[in-house]
Amino acid sequence: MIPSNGKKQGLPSPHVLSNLPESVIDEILMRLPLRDAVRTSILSKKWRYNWCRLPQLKLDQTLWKTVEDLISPTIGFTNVLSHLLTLHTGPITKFTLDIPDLKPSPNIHHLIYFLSRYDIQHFVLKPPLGDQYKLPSSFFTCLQLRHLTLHRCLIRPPPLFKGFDRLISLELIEVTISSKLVGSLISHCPLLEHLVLEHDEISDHIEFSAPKLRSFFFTGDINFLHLKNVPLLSKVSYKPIAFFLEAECDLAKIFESIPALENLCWNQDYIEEEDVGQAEVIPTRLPSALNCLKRLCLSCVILGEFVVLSFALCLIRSSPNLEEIEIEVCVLRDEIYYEPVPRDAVDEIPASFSNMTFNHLRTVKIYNVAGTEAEMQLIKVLLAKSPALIRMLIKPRRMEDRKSLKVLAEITNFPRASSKAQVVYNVD
Amino acid sequence: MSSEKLLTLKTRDGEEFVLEEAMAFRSLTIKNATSNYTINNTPLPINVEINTMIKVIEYWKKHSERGISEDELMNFDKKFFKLLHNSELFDLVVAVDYLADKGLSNAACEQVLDKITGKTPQEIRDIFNINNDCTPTSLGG
Repeated sequence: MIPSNGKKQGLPSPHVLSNLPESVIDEILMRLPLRDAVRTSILSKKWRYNWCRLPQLKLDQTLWKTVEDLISPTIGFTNVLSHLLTLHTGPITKFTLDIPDLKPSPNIHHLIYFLSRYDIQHFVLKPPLGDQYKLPSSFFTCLQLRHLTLHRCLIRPPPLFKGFDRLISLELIEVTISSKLVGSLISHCPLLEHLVLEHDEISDHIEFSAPKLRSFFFTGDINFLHLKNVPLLSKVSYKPIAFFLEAECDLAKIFESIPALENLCWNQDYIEEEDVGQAEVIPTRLPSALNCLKRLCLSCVILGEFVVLSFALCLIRSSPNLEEIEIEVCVLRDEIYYEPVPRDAVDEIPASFSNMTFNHLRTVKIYNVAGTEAEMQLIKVLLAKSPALIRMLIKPRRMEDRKSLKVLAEITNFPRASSKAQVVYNVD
Repeated sequence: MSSEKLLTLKTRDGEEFVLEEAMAFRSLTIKNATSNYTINNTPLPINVEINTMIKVIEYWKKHSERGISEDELMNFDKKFFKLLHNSELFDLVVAVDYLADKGLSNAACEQVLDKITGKTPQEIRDIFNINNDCTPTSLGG
């Protein structure tokens, strides 16, 4: 071997290096961010079109680092797009277009038409901010879709469109679509396992059936949601924008429809305090226990508000098989009207759990604890009723040291059913 | 491994060697070839040279070791690839592509990726030994 200067090394390989087989080049290009893959087109004549074989393409704003990039003949958006449309060979199975900040909004109809002819299976579309992007009719011919994510699109399919019946995962974020159509679209996906609906503007009832659905993330008005047939749904995340219960059965109805619920996240961030209705309509516990529920996570809950506290306690009392509880307490804003927790309701908390034991509860985490009566009663009950408890993590809210110490002292003095239970008070 | 079924392979440059079947089957290509293969100990021809195959087997042996920790494997991989010249690495990438071993293929391609990330086009041409035949006008189109 000739001693090298770092560039030409070793004996020349029987393969001419620049003639790496296509499959190898593809393996390498596939791992590059699209920006770099497209730029290989300037390496040599042979390399011009290598990137055009990529079956998975992600066109997002990382493509452009400078203003020059945007109009570059190699990686400028219009150029990349036109190269793709004219020079691509081979299948395209996955395509992501994520360009919310691109101005002016480019025309992407041709792109959608192009993809529809490729039996695309995985499509993510986040069009430029501004008016909702109206999906062209060619989009509705992509019947091989298995994964679909749409942001800010206007969805009005042609009349004969039935649905994407191969979908396994569907995410509709801030789209414009009739409630009836959403329901029908979902119900026409017999294989659907994962569903995300983020929909501030629902004004009408959404009803669907999804026999294979396993996880469902919903942001919107819970009152308009009707799950007809979701026997396998085990993971649910709700972020309601309104939560007005009128009758006692309203809460029960929400959970009756999800018999296999194992993991529930409930986030009250979007709810205005005055929009929650009366505490009286919240039952002590649900008519049918949530026997499958293993993990309960409540975020942005104002435990100082009577309705919210009742709701949280109702859920906990209804779930005897809980393994993990996580609560993020939210601070009340003083100016807003709220119904504080009446004294006797707080005093009744221990008694309301009297015939319960949480035999499987291992972990409890409570964030932003202020040491209010209601919080302390809840912590006390959980420590007393959980013989399998291993760890309770309390993260107190910012408060005066003396007060914080008092809270800690009180908590550590509570009797514990589990000798293994460790209380961690995380101040930092 | 309790069953030590052995396989005889013959490289493109005529060298024969013996390997445990279980290890050889890390290569889908070899595995598929032997399913049509009658047992009479005729060596199975593979389109790889002996030098490259030695490297592949070294890698397979280490990754088949029992009780080896993630950290030890990571260290081994680092050293293994560090010792390869570019041409050896490319030979390895081509061979592994042919042999169809996903694990080693991923590792080798990541190495090539490391070599070209952040490099200028001319530097990349040097690494791949690519002739720059682009005219200024073809770049602009």
